[in-house]
Amino acid sequence: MSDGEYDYLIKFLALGDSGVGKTSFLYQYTDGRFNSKFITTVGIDFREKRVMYKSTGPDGSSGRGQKIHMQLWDTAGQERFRSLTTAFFRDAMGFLLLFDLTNEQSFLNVRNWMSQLQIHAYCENPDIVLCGNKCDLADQRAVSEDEARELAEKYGIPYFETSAANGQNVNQAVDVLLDLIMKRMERCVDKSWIPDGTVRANGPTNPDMSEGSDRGKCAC
Amino acid sequence: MEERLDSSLDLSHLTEEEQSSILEVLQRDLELRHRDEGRVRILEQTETDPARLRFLSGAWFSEERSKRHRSQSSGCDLVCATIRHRKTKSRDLPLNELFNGEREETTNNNNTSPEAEERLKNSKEDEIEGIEGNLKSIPAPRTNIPLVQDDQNRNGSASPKERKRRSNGHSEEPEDDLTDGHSGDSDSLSSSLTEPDPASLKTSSSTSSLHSAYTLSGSMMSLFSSGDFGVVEVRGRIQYSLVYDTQKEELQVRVYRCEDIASARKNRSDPYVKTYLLPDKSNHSKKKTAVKKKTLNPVYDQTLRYKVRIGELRSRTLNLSVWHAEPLGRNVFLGEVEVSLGLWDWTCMQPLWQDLQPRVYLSPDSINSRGNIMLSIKFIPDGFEGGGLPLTGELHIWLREAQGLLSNKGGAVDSFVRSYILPDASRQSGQKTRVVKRSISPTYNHTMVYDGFQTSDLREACAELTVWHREGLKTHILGGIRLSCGSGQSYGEAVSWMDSTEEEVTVWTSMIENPNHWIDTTLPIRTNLTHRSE
Repeated sequence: MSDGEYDYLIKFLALGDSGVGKTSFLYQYTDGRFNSKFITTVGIDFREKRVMYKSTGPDGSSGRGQKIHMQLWDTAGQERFRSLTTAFFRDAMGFLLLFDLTNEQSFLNVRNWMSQLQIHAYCENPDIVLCGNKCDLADQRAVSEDEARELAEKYGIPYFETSAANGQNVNQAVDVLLDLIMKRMERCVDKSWIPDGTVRANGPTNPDMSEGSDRGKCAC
Repeated sequence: MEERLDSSLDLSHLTEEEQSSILEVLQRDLELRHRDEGRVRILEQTETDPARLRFLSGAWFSEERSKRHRSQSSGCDLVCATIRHRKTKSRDLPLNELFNGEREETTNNNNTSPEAEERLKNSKEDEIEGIEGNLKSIPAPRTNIPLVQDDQNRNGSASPKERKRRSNGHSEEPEDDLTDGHSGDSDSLSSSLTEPDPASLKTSSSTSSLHSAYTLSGSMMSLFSSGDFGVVEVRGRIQYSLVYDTQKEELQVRVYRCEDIASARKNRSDPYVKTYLLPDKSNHSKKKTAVKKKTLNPVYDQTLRYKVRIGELRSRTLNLSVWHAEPLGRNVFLGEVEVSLGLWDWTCMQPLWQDLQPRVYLSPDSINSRGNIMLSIKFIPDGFEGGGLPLTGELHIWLREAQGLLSNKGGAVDSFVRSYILPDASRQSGQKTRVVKRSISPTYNHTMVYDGFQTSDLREACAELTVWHREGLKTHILGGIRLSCGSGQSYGEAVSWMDSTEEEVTVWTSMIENPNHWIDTTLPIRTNLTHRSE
């Protein structure tokens, strides 16, 4: 699998409090499996996956399939690894920010993770997907879907209720993040292609946001 | 590409196991990056659209990132460099405060002593020998990728277990193809060369009891080895040169060839050359050339590289040994040379021939020096600072590090240093550093302060620093130094412990004559401190 036979190397990073399920989430994504035993991540780790990405143009037409090699960084949530893991933020093109639906504090800390990302990521407005994990533990839920969505909207980022245990929304969350990255690139490659009616999926809602300034923000 | 260390990145609180685990992950990442770089190189040939190339290659990302993060380096390179150097900086406070309410256990952090934080010099530079050795090649510049890969091939198969040093014995594993990517570049090897002796042998107190550097080192080697090597009568010579690359902080041992070596089997040998940077006998100190089959005059033209600071080298001895590779059974020793690097003239980089020596066994008691100790010392007479301060004279001993600690078993040790200002040998007078674990060249960075002195007292006193090594619950003394005027007398009485060497006397008198002035010195750790009754 790790040959050079792919079109894009895409690096994502999963972050969030200790125990929210980052490792399990990624393991579910790459291997389709779940292990309920809690083994804390030592600092940092990563997994890889090869996927096909098909872009969709504004007219709904399907672009050429692209081979994507994904490197999925898994960071330790434990505080003692904090300075280590933040050093890796700059290496990721997109982020999966996880919290635990059964742990309110992990949700309250999303704020802090977001500000860390804004400081340490490769740019000020990186692509992020928020995931409320462990949605399968319905009777232990401590965070309502509404309040989570509200927070996500405030940041202008997509939100998913996921379960690493049963796989719910895991693929979808990663696919959406991948789509955001690829679209970010595509917006630049084809400067003439201004997405019509594209919901601005990133960054706080800003009245000044027009398509023109959108292009200005692009890293071309 | 030696990464500039991010001053806010402090990873000293991580355990060695954690650090090695992390470095393993980084190595996997490095492999992935190398493969990707290969892919990009091909792309650069084939992709015609530059805009598209930017995205396919990931350049869009690294360019954007470099706008924010000054250096082009990735987080991985930074972390890797930090772990390898393990400089202690101030802890990353803002992050700790941000994340409230997390009930996680934090293992205890090795907080440095307050003195260390005052000093802005190298704090705990605990060399993780195994990690360094295995992954020393990671922050390599792009252009050197082939070398990195070779090194990785060489070490890549080594599991973490192999990094454990072999304490005894010179057990030889079957020879793999261990070619180092680079060869020596000198062309003029075919003709016999004149032999300038670059090792200007100065006699100093540390080597005064030796006939030559080789004899001492031979005994150091023999201390650790077991088994017999005297099967073959040693003959012949080896040609090599030493180059130190200050930019890369790398010692390059260029092995050219051997001539007229002994035959291990019927008129033949399959020789290879092995090197160690003694007293480190661990796997990562060991390096080998390729095996040349069926020759008594093998030509190697290979460079063996050690990533090591120049300061560290001065306390090391390079051992080059020639062996016959025996595929079934033990390899056969064909001779060796040892070079005391503290005496080496680094300006001379020409190839040099040396006769191969047999192994000589000497008892551990005849070892004169157990390494070096590096410290700074100063005396502040009372009132010297103005305003009546200090109230009494103060003696400051800034114990920096020890280099090349040599214990009986060899290899890294857990060590600490104890100090007394004699004649006061009471318990209260004794001070000691913390134990620095698993290092041949531990950094203590500990300052001892003694007060209550008049300048005149100094001439009667002796600062005794002893280095101890801890093995389980027991501690053994490795040796020490005594700084004094060396008069043999204290307050009118003859005492055994005013036995300073010339060097030690120089340091002490220098300190007295230059009040409130740091005197820096590196002294050999002697084993011949005269006994004093406790």
